[in-house]
Amino acid sequence: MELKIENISKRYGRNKWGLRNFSLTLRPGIIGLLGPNGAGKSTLMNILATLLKPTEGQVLWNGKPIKFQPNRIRSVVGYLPQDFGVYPQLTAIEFLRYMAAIKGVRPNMARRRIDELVSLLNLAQVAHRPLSGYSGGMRQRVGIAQALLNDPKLLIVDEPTVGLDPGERVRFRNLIADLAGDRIILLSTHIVSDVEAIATQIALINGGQLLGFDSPEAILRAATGKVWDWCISAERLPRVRQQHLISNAVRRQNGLHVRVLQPQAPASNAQPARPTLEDAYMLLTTGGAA
Amino acid sequence: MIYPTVYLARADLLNRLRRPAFLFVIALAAYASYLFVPPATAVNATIVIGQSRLFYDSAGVGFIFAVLLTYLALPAFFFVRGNISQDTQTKHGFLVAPSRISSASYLLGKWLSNMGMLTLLLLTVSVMAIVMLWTRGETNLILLSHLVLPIWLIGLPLMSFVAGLAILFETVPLLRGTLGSLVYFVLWINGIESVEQGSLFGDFFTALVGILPLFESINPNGAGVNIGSIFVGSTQPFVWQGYQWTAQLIGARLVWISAGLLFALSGLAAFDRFQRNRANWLKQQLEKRIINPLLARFPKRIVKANVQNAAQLTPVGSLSFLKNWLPLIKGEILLNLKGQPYWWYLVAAGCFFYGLLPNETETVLQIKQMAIVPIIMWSGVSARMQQQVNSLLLSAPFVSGRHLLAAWSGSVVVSWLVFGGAGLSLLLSGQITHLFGLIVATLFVPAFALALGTFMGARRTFELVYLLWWYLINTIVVEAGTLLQLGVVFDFMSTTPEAIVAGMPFVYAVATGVLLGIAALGRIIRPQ
Repeated sequence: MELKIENISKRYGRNKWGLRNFSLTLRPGIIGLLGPNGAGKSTLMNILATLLKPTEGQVLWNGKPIKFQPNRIRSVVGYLPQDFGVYPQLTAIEFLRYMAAIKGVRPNMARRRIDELVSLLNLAQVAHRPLSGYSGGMRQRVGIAQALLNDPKLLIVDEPTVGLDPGERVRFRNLIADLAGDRIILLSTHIVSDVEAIATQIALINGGQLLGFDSPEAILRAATGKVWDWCISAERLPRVRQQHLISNAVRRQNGLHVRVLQPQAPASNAQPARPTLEDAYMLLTTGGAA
Repeated sequence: MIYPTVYLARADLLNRLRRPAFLFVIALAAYASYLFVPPATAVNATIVIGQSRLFYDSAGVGFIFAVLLTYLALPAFFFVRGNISQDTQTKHGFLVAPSRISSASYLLGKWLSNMGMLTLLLLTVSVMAIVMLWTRGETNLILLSHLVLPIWLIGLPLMSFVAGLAILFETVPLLRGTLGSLVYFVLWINGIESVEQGSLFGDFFTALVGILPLFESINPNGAGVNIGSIFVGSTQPFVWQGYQWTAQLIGARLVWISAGLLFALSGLAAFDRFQRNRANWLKQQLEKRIINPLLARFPKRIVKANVQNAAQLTPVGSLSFLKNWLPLIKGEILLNLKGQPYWWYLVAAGCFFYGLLPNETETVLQIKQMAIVPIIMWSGVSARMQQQVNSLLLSAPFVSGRHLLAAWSGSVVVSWLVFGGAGLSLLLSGQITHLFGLIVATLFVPAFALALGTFMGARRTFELVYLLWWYLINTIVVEAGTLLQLGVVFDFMSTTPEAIVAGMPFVYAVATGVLLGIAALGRIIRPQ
């Protein structure tokens, strides 16, 4: 099973490029898609879900282009967009039955699968209430359930943990980890710790271009030796921010501990620190890794 | 108070001006202006004094455009309404609600925004008046006081009223949706019709529109002012000297502008400031005391599965699109039925049983009148074609055609909950041709709603077009001449023998297929 993205570009209007010459080959596993706002993550996901057509390039599912036969990929895709609507007057069960029918899940199987997903996503107590009364987190869980209805081989989830409380986030991460195996899961998020916890590979994207695609360990290695823990007084922070790239600042009793990202130590009292994925992400997306 | 109001109005106006719908409406107004002034050599005229058309000079064309404005008051309402509902949908209202802006300032800002839109409409009509006089006029002299002044003195107060009424309707929960569209349509139709009959509402409408002095001036001998597409042949045109606006009359017209503002501000009494609980109080009480206890008698199926992790999920196996037709249509029926206001269920049930009454000669008439009832459901189908949920639907396999056909089928089925009784009456009384007409109508209107919704999205467009259509088949088919032909062509329900003889059921059956094809095409060529 392979999803190959070959040199795709997407242009909006005359000059605005959402993606530019983007190439990537995905195989089963959890692929974290990391990038700042406007990097092109949602554009890429919409193209893979066949909601958008690329201006240039092509996407191949198991070696065959999806451009001419989009239904080949639609049959195996589960998609949770960043912003999605529901029919507020329907209950979760009614909505999921409708979505199962849309996706072509056989009625008997749909009934069983919906029960299982409702139970798994902790929605059983509210399953017969209209969706209009759902909280943001409950609504997001319904979105996740509909993405899993057809047992997708390619699961595309865009910012899936938005609106979920910490407990639900952990449940979701476990759910995605359990689903991995013979599936390609493409997970886009701003929450680096979510990717760090479950992704087998990470694609870093910025300005519509792929900055890097590697395992979390390899990406972390790129930041090794470039992260410094520096204790400064709080008053110095604005000036330090102007001069250095900072990924974090934490107040301690002895002063403000800032994480400075750069190859050289910012000061003699700065200590080398163990890089996190967030540090590596900051370095790569701001060009500080060079 | 002034700055927040002005900035709110400005932002609201800019937001609406940047939508394609704005250009569409302006283009439509320009086209209507073009149609209202046929060439001087044409045998038909839109306004006829006695037996003659108006001479195309500044006064004549100015009068034609002043009359046109009374008709534009209908689409103008649909053009501007919805700017408060939109704040609810976009959740912008939740930012406004806790802010310091007063409710009065908010409504005033929205009214100003509406006025901005409608002023641009008047500007378009004014420019078109000059263009039409220039291209079709019978004199080169352009007198702005005769040509453009009536447009603004008639139009501005009228549009102020429309802008205010749109705000008022947005604040009253019952009038926010399709019922509001229907109520406005009835008010407008009655206003237009009762001007001639001299009723109290007619007096109000005449004073509001302010066109009566112009009518009296143009028709001092009571020869009659007829409006429509009227045959005049080659009779000598009627030359009118124009109307002399006195300061008193101009002052009176300007006072009417403030009446529009008052209407907008009267919405304060009902404005909930985006507190949905307050707005739905009546519905909540109904659900709490009647609906929920009733529903509790039918226990829901308990979710039995106990799945702890995703690895325990049952594999789905192969997909089947054929076996999913019924669940899909069932889902669409649910979408059509659920979420409608409670009064609608009562009215729909009433229509079903009313249609069953043994009333052989009246059944067709009943059907024509009943055809307004499903508008709320049909306009919902139209609106659903471009809702955000489509991002979930459109990534499913073979979805475009299947979803479209299911949405259409679901809407047809629910239509029969309204027309079922009448259909049965037609069957039992042997009026098979009329029954065939009714079947075709219930196939045609949902297809029309789907096609319009695919391209336009907003339910207001369908509501406006359908309301006019429904009015047309309930009125002009009974008249003679060209109107009869027009009535036959537009009679999608085939309610007259003439429509059946002309084969209109077959025409509309074909049109149904064409419209479904257009809707499918719209899905395929959607912007990507």
